[in-house]
Amino acid sequence: MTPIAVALDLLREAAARRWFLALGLALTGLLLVLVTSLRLEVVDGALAASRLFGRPLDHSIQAADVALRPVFLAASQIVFWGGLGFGVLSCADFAPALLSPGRIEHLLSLPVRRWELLAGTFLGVLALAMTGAVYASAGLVLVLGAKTGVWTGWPVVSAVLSALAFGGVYAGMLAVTVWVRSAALSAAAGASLIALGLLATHRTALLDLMGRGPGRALFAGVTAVVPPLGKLADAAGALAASAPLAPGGLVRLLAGTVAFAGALLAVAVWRFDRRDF
Amino acid sequence: MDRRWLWLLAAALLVIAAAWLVRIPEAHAPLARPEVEMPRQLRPEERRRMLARLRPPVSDAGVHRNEVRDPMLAALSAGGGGSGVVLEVNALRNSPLGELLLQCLAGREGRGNALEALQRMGIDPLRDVDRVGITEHGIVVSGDFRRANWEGLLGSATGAPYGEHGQITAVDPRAEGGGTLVATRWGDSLLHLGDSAEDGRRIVDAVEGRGPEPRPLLSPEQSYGELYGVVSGADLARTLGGSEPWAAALVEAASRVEVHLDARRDVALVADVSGEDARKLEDLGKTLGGALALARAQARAQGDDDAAELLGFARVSPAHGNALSLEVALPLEAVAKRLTFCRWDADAGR
Repeated sequence: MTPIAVALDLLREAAARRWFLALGLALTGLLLVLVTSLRLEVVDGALAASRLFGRPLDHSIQAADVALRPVFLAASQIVFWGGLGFGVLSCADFAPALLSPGRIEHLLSLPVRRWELLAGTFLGVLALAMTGAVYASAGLVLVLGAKTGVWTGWPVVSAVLSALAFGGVYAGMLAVTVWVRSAALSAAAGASLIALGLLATHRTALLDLMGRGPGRALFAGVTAVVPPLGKLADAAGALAASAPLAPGGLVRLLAGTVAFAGALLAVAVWRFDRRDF
Repeated sequence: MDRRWLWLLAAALLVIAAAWLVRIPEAHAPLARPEVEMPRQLRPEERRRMLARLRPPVSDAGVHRNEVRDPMLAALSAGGGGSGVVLEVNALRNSPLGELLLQCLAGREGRGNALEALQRMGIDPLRDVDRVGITEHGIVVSGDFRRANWEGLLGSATGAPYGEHGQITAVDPRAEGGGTLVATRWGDSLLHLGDSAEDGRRIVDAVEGRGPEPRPLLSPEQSYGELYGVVSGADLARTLGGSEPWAAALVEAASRVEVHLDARRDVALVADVSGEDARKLEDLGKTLGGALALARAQARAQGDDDAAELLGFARVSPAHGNALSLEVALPLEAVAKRLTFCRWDADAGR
C-alpha cells in the first residue's frame, strides 16, 4: 500500500460522508443559479451595439473581461476563505478517525510504513480540497464564459492556490492530531493557523505597534514561519482577476507554504513513529 | 543517528526554508531608530562655545549689572515674549545635515540664489553668520558683519545712534504695503530686524545691560544643540493651527515647550513640554503617543511606508511630574532620503 492508496481510501471515505455530498450539491446549485439568473448579456449586448453603430453608445462602458474582473476576484476570495473554513470543519475528524482504536492497529498490520499513512491522509485531504476548489472555479468559468464569451483559466489556477494554502493549514491539524486524537482540537489548530496566517499577513504593521520584549519576539518568531494567508488570498484574487502580480513573490509564497506544510508533516511523522498503538 | 530523528532534522530545515521563503522582500529595508545621544545638556565643546560668547556689560551703560551675558540671548529676551528659537547656523552649516540642506538649497535656487545676493553685499551667510534667533519681535542675526555693505543692505551706511554701539535704521516700507522694517545694529556682530524702533532700543538696552533686566527667555546653560529654543503653549497652538477647543486644551496642558536639536550626525530632537496641571500633561502625553501610533498604523495600512518609517522614529516619554518629553531620532539616511527631491529638481534644471 502506498500513500496514493491511503489517499484514495480517504477519498472513498469522504464520498460516503454527507458533508461532502452537501458541499457538492451546494456548489452545483450555486452554479445552476448563476446559469439561470445572471443577466450578463447586458455587457455583451453593449459591446455588440458599439460594433454595430461604430462607436460606444455609453462612454462608461467596459470590455466584458474588465467588467468581470470584480466577479472573478470576489469568487476567488469566497473559494479561498470559504474553502479554508469549510476544509477545517469538514476534515477535522479524518485524522482522528484514522487513529481510532481498532482501525490504526489494522492499518499498521498491513505492509505500510507509518509515514506513508500520514502522507496518504494528507494527500487525500489535499486532493479533496483541490477537487472542491477546482469544481467551483471551473464551473464559474464555464458559466461566465458561456454567458459573455470571456474564457479565462486563471480563476482555476487561483483555486489551486487556495487548495495549496489549505494544505499548509491541514498539515498543522494532522500534526496536532498525532499528539492528541481529538477532532475538536484538530479544528481548533486549523482555525488558529488561519488566524496566525492573517496576523502574519500584517506582520510588519503589527510589529510596528509592539514594544520591544518577549511578547514581540514570540510574535515575530511565530509569524515569520506561518505562511501569510492574506497575501496568498490577494495573489489568488489577482490571478483570478488577471491583475498584475509582483514577479517572483507568488513562487516564493507557494514554496514557503509547501515548506511549512512539509515541516509540520515531518514533525507529525516523527511523533507518529514513536507512538505505540 | 536514529532514523526517527531525521524527521525532526528535516522539520527544522523546512521551517527555516519556510521562514526564508515567506519573507517577501520589502521594497527597502526599514531604517533602524538610531541610538543617538539625545541633547539634554551642554556638551564640552558647547560649553566652551557658550563661555566664549559671554560678554560683560558695556562699562558706561548707565546702571549696569555685574553679570556677563550672551548678546544673542539677551536680545531674544528683550521683547519679553514667551517664545524664541535660535538656529546655530555656523554649527549646522558644518554638520552633515547642513551639507544636505545646502545641496538642497543650491538645487532649488540654482546658481544665482539669495545666498549669492547677500555675499555681494558683504555678508556670506555660510561664513559670517553665526546664529539666527527668531522671536515674535523679529529676527536677530549674530556673526561677523565687518565687511557688510550696510548701504546696499539697509539703504543707509549709518543709522540713528543709540546706546554705546547701537544704530537704528528705518528701511523703506515693505513692498507689499506693510509697516516699515526697522534694522538695529549692535556693533558689527548683531543685527535685529523688527517692526519698531522701540523694539530696537529695547534690544540695545538688553545687550548693553541698561535698565531693568528682562526675564531671560533662555539661559546660556540652555544653549546646546544646533537648534534650541522655547515656545509658549499659546504660540505652539497658533503655529499648529486647529480648532479653538483643541488650541485651548493644548494651551491649558502645555504652558511651555523647550526644544533642542542635535545634528552632529543623526538628527536628535528633544521637546520637553511643561505645564501647570500634571494630570492634563499626562493626558497630553498619552494623546500624543496614541496619535503617533495611530498615524503610523494608518500610514502602514495605506502603504505609505515612508511616513510610517518617519513616525517610527518619534517617541513620547511619559510625563514625570509637570513635564513630558517628545524625542525624535532620525538617521541621517532618512533625512537624506527625504531631501532627494532637491537633487531631482537640480538634475531636471540642468
